[in-house]
Amino acid sequence: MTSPVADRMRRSPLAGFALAMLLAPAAAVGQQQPPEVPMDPERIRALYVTTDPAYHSVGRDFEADIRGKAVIDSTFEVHTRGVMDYAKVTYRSKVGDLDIPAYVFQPLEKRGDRGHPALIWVHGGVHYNMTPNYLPAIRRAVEQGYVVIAPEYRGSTGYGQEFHDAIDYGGYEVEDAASAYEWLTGNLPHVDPDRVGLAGWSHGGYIALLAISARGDHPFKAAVAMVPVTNLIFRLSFKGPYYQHWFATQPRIGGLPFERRDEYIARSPIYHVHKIDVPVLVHLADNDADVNIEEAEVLVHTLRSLKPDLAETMIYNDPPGGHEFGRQADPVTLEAIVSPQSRDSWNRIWAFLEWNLRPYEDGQGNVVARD
Amino acid sequence: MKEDRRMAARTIRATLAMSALAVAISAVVPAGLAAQQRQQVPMDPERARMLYVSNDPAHHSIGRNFERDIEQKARIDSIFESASRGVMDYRKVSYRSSVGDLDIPAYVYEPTEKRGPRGHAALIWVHGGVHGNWTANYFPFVQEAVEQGYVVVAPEYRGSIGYGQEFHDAFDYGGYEVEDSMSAYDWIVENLPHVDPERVAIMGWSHGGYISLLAVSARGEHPFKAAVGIVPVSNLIFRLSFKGPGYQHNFSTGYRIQGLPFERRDLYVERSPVYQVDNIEVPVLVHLADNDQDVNFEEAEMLVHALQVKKPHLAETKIYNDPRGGHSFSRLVDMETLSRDDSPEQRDSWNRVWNFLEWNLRPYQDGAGNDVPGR
Repeated sequence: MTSPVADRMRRSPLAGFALAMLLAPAAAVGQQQPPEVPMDPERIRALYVTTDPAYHSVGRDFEADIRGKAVIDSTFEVHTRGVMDYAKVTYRSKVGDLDIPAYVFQPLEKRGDRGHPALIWVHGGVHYNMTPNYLPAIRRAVEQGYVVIAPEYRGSTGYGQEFHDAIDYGGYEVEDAASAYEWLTGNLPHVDPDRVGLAGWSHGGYIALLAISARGDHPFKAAVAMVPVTNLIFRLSFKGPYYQHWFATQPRIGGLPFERRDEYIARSPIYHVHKIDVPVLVHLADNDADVNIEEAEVLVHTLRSLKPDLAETMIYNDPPGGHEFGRQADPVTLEAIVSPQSRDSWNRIWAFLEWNLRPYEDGQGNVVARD
Repeated sequence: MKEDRRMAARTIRATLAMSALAVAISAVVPAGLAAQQRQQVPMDPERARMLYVSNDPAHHSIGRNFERDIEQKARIDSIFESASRGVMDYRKVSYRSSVGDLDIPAYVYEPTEKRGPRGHAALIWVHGGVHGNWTANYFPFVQEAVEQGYVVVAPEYRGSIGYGQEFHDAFDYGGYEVEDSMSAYDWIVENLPHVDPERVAIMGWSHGGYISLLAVSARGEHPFKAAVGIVPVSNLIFRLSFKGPGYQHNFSTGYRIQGLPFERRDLYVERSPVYQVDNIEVPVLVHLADNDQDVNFEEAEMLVHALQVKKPHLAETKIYNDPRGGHSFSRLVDMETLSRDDSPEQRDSWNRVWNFLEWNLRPYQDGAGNDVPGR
């Protein structure tokens, strides 16, 4: 291994001394401590994020949430009467600690054993709940023969502080939502356990993705994830401290991404894409101001790159409604507010679900006449 | 008929439900961004200190020992001088950045025998950082490049260490440093008639790979025929979140940044190569290590996916599984002898880099397009 260079190095009086200095790569970074700088009090407050769960829901008006939920429930009741079976049920989460409320929407006429496919319909968040703007789509689902169940997973609003503060974003909430499957198969013999899919929006799309990728074996045949949250590490950085608060104060997270790297990776769907084993449909809006396109497009690239045969993806250009596109309803008539983008999105959702769940078939695989 | 009945019923119900719904909708504000007011919580002073990130450029280089950096740079220069002697032409030059405000030092390595006008291809070779500098561990690879006929220029873009505080604090990650590096092209064209202006590529590792990618995507027209980005920084918004306050400090106190990603969203998006992939129009080669502890795989794989999806015909990408050295996997050098300390991954990565560059820059040709004898 002699070379002119090596010879020269040995002859150079400076070389030996310099070598040690050069061994440390300049680029190395770790979790460095910030240098001691003078602090501006206003900026201290602006950047501060607590990890104490006791402060998670500071300022929240739980009574107002409960009143709001009662209004929503009565809206569902009024608007489903004569159109579909509507019930609100609860079931035990498979985590074992909590009862999960859920809305159930079914066709008035049942087809008999295993006659219907089902959709677990997951609402968005952080800290939100199932709302009537989904009714136009649920009506169409039920018309096609789907049974729809919409779980109010832990952290949903309208059920008091304890349920609210049990929030576990990307954690137990996924089990809460997935447990709707056990309720369906345990209680509705007319639902076919082999024809159950997930559909969610935003935080709900995120839960749907985790349910088919981050939880090992699952019973779902397909998942629809609209404008889904995809990368919490990016997301918290982009949104800033007010948003970071809701994550850092969750008991099972307990810190910011740099403090709980593995936890945030485990809870970011983008890092589970390689485990997806069923068809998945993802639609984005490039004008989304909540799940910003900078966050979400990376999921689409990952899906197209790693799962080209399972993933159907679309990025809509400037759809009216942005993050809410496709799920906006007139608050008075509860008719869908449509645009070319929302029409196309729903056309693709229904076709995707029909292909994967065959809502037109009864329990024997016979085609049921559709009205 | 059924539809008509339903519509009529719905109208009546809607009237009844109208006021109630308005209440419901105002009570349950949409999921997103309504509650942006800061939560008022008691603060733990130690945590407040730990989370604090200044946005004041005056705080940028607190605690930095500039004299030590200068001494170290002198030693690096002398190593290059002594190691290059008889092997290749070596000199250190400086040129004005196209930004107009600063002189940029640069290392120049050339074959001792020149081929005549436009006889050589050239590589602008960009070192890593944050606040790094050109170091001797690149030596064996530079030597290989020169043996193939390349002229190599390694710019010490603003923020590089070893040139004093003013140059250090002029740091502009993803900003003017890109112009500083690209300006090496103008220096080459003006000063080296034996370099072919049509055969110049830009390449780098880590922060240098990041600069190389931005040069071919985020600066509009550019003269480069190809770019190599090995273990490149690719998404600053993710990166700062993953690294934490100690790392955020360097960026937040940059004089043209002055804030964290949530405070300067557009700027951090512009400075993140993953969002510039659409603009790439020349071949690029990107290699990653899945055990990288600096540019973590969770950051870098996003870039590879974007390249594979958006530029399948321009991008050559490879992800190495657990290569020795991690972030430094293709820069492993025996510093005693300044020779390669190869692993299978380092061999393969360099084989692919040299093949990629040879295909795109034809270093074996002279200025008339003839193959140079003996190669």
